[in-house]
Amino acid sequence: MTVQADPRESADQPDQSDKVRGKPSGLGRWPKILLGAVAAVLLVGLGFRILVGSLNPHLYAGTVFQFDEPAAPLEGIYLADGSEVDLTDYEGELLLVFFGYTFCPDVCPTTLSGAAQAIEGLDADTQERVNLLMVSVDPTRDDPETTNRYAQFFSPQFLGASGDVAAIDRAASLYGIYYDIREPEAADQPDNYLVDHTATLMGITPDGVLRIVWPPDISPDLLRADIAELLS
Amino acid sequence: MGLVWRIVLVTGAAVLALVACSGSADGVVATDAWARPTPPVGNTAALYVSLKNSSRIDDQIISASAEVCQELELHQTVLTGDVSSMPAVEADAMSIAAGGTLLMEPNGLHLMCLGLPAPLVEGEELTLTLTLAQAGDIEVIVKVQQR
Repeated sequence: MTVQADPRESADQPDQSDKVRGKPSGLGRWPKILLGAVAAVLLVGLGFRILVGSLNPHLYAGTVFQFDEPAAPLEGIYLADGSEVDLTDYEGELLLVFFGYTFCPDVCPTTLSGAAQAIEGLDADTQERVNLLMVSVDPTRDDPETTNRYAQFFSPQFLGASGDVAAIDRAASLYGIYYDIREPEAADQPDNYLVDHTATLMGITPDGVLRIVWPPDISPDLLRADIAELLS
Repeated sequence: MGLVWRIVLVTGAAVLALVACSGSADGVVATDAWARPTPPVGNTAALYVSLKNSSRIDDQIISASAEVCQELELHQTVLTGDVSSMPAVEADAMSIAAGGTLLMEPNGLHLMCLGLPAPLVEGEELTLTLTLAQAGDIEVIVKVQQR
């Protein structure tokens, strides 16, 4: 009997002594291991986040161009104060350029109010470094004054400009803008006509390069994130 | 006539009236009608209204008018690539399928208001009258708000 009982007792013995040894520290072995594992996972995770954050560049919502040519000058396009638009005035800042017209009921107000919302959400310092210039594609109805009043309605920071047909044609072609003045729908209302036009928002970066283009239906949040990155 | 009969008659009339009301709500209902405040120049605006057709019959917009708009035209902004064009949509082609919703929204289907006598101001409301083939005339309050 004693011979049979002995091996069982010796096999049970180490387990019991283990439990006794664990007690004085106040925590069992498993909680300690668990705590250590959680801390290790947190540390590795934090390190990974920092690494990924520094390696992963901002993903632009707009289309970014990979060339460094200075943006074409807007010759013959005038501001409301009578001066010709001079792109060098905006060096060191971001200049958003939009081609539109003041008779435009839907896409122009949508794009301009979206741009205004995007800019309003930036911090004050960044906001001050963002400009928006609306160039009219409707030389007959929009003089610089009219275009400027239209643009400023969306934000006092926005400017409007216009010029004669030749100047607008030249600016549109240099900036890849298509526009087509449609026939009036009613012969007795010759002033009620629409203009089809490229309604993108373009960004001339602080170095004077036309570097990015956003689609007309860009969301204010995505536009804001791109602007913040361009000016960071 | 006894009091009990009077109560029965009055209750019956009330039930009939309720049925009649729910009947009229069972047509085309505007679920969201709004317009952006407009700039001091340009004299145009876009009105957006969503129309839900709860009836079992297809309906369609025949015409639209609003007192503040010299003209009101149904338009569809079409973005082809990044080029915006705005072909006028024939009003009688504007159908609202039975059980469906006609959605108007920025850069899409909208009512273009021409000849505004004054800019639309935030908080203002304007009355839009839509004439539908089945539901007849419906009046919609359009709220001017920044969105």
